[in-house]
Amino acid sequence: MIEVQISTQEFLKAAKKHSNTSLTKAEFQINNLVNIRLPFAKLDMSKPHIMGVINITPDSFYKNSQIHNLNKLKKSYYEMINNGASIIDIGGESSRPGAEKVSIIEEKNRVFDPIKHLKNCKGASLISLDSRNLSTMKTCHKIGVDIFNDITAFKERNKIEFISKTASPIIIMHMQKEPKNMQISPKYSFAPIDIYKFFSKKIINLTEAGVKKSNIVVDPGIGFGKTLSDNLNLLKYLPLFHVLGVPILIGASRKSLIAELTIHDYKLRGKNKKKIIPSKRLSGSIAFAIHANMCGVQILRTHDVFETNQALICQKSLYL
Amino acid sequence: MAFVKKTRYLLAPPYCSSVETFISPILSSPSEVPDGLKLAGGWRCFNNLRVLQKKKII
Repeated sequence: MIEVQISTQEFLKAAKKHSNTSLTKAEFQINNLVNIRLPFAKLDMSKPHIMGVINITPDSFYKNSQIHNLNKLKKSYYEMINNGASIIDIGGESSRPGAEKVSIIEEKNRVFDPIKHLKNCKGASLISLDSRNLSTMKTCHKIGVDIFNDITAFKERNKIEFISKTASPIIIMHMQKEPKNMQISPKYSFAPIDIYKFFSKKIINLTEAGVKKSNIVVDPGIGFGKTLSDNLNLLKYLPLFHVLGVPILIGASRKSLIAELTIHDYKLRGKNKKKIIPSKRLSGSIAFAIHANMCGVQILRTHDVFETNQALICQKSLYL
Repeated sequence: MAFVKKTRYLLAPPYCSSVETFISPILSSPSEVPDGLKLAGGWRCFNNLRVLQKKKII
């Protein structure tokens, strides 16, 4: 694979010189980059948004994101909204590497009351449900969930039919294999291109099934069935995904690649560091959030809404 | 895993039958590229592209 840096004009000229078909394809791709994104779940996609994470689980990888009672839930929710979150992502099943599936009944029991409670709160923000189960999606749709966030990218036909019928905004994430085994030898020829192709096909499948393109957001799935090198390539080539013509979500918050990079740095300096726990990964999370913002990513998924928003404010004051 | 080699010239014309072509905008702030194209009507702009090309396996 080769990479060439070239002006947009030169690129179009080279395509035109070859054939009209090439020119049409080149213009289509450039238009996808430039076209204004329609609002997603009524959110203006011409500016960045923060999605705060709340896990109603006993085993999510970052313990501070776990919430077990309604009072703490309400407190976290209002803190996140006040600190700048436009969306709150609520999940009842951990998808950390090695996590076992929980029963659908258990997942519903975990998320139903909290979501119902939050939907009745004043100044409600958008609620997204982080689930791969159709039955949980259907139940939560009835109590007003605004967005469905599926780590399996709505693989099953009946899920696609549901979201098409309900015209629900969705987030499709890329993952190789299942959380239980996703980190066992993930393989790509080149992760950014492989995942770009995956989303291209997926968007066609979804739109052919009646899902509006403006209801789709893509998440390349940092840490989901990827090596450190795959994750870094994805982050380096993030702008590639804008060619898909839909908004992008990135969630690198507190993930293990931050620990891997830090441990590697210790090693280079001849120091021994075996573990960097999730509570020690805030700075790395902010660095990747800033990078994603510079790449025009529309939604940043984070455990740390206040800190991420503050970083974006400071960055904006200098560069944007 | 594929190795990406940075070069000065394209392998073949964009989107011709012998190669796969992908583009990625090189983004800047509007003040850095005042004549640039606006990415998705948002807060970043571009004039230049990273073009990735890969020979098709026939």
